[in-house]
Amino acid sequence: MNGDFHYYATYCTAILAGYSHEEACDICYSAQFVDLCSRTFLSSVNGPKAAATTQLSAELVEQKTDFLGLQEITRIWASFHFLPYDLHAEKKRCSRAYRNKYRMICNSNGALLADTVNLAKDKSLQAVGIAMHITADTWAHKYFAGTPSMAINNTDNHFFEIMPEEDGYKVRPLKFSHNPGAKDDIENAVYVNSLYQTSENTVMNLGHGRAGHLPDYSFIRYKYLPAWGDYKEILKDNPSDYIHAFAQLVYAMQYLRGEHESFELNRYAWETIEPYRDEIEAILEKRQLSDSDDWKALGEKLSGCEIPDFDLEKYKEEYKKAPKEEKGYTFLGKFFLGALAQKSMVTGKIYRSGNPLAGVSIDYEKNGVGAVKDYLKLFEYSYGGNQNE
Amino acid sequence: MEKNFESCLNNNPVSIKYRKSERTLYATGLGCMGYAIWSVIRTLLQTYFRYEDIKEFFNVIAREVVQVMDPSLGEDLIRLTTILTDILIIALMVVALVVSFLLRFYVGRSACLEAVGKKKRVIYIVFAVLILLFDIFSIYGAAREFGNMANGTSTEDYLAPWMPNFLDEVAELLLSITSVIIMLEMIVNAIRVKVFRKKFKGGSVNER
Repeated sequence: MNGDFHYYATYCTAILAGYSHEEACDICYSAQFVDLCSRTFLSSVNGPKAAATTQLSAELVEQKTDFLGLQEITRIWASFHFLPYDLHAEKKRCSRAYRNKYRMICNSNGALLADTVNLAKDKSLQAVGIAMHITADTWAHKYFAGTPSMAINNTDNHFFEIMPEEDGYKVRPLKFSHNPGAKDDIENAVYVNSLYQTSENTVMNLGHGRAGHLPDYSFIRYKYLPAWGDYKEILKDNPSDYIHAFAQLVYAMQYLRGEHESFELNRYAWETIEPYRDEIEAILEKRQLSDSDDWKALGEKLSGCEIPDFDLEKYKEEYKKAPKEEKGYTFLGKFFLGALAQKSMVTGKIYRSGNPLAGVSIDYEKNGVGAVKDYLKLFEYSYGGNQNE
Repeated sequence: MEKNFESCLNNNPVSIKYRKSERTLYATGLGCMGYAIWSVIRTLLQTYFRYEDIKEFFNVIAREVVQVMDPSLGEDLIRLTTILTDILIIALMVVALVVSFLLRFYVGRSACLEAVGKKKRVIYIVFAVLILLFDIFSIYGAAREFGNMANGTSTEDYLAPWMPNFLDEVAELLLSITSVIIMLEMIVNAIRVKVFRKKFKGGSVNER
């Protein structure tokens, strides 16, 4: 998903879930920050590199795709943007290598989603924001995997937009161009995607690059042939997926606030969003590349407060100036801890399922952290209480 | 937003088979074109690395011509005949190479165009069958040569420079087997696609 949903729409869901304006700002900032917390940013604040939640294009260009490099990529993208749906999915008549990648395919309401939301329980607002980003992305990034793989993530020119009409729908073909500087042309159905490359492990085949930004546009419905789909067409109904994501975010945050005893998959806060459903659907169905203005207007209407624009530099100085022992209590410090915990949890689950794609995971509670000094803080974090103090 | 758009999906078994055939046809078309290009590169590499052997071959031809011709015809005429013989041999080989390349390239390109929905005549399938038969014959020839090598049977002296060594023969065999598989897949899927299209009376399945 784009910044419009991760920032402004997440703010709306936080308000509807019962958070205050200030809490909602912290949550939505953290949700959007997941898309920006790269190693480059971490270097600028001297933060722990292991807390990276994304990789910039420039970093991906330089990223090695050897065995260890692929693990590095998978650890980030599978943990924060393409949460695997079923780590034990069965696929007949295929090699083990293919099955491992098949098991990394993202979808909504997987077991790891419950783990992600529960991990944020009684933790900081930053952890809540991270969990909400991941939850939202399980809807948008369905059917793609957070590991470079042509055999899983590739698509071809069989791409058709489905446009509702009065009594039914019409279908029109979509075209792709590879000019990264060009803008997506909604009117003429020409979108930018990554270049086709035959190498299995190239970063061009990471995530939904081959489908361009289509998964991140709330208005579009389309059908296509994913490489893993055995020549079957798959429907991606973004307006439906996005409203489910919205309702699930509200429900998840209600749970994290203590309104529900447990987090259940496939459960949504439809009653809570019902008074605003028409407005939400209107925003989602609007054919435009960014819904930021509309979500912002809705959010300000819900809370009665002005939502500050996202500012990447906002919390940098606080973190840089804090003494070492107090860094964990700064805004960024709490975010980094939440990110480390999330990455450790997902990587551990992938590793224990017998899948080597995310590398080896040390169970720090049992075996200590070894040489990974960034994870020392997680000892306190795992036993710590509410980090909002 | 309550509309169900699942009905727009086309996942009946026939359509799925059709899509698979189209994509296999496209891939085999690329493979055939790649093999055509590889044939040219291989010949150029062989000519470069075995230049001395080839020179010796033409020397042998020249000696044969001198032996066969009447010395009373004169040295100039004999030399001219030798040169013309060399040119004829080279020309025949170049023509064979060009024809082989053009044929494979045409077949591969036709398969790709057919796969993306452009109508193509059946003739490329006929040529594909010819190429398949030629590749099967190559495999037979290679197998026979392995037999000769195992038995220590010597070849005619004048053919010696052209006879590949064991490794060359293994490489040639593997490529011929690959080509056989590609052509078989291409023929089968080309026929399937034509049959499907006649049923649907349309172009590519992408349009449905």
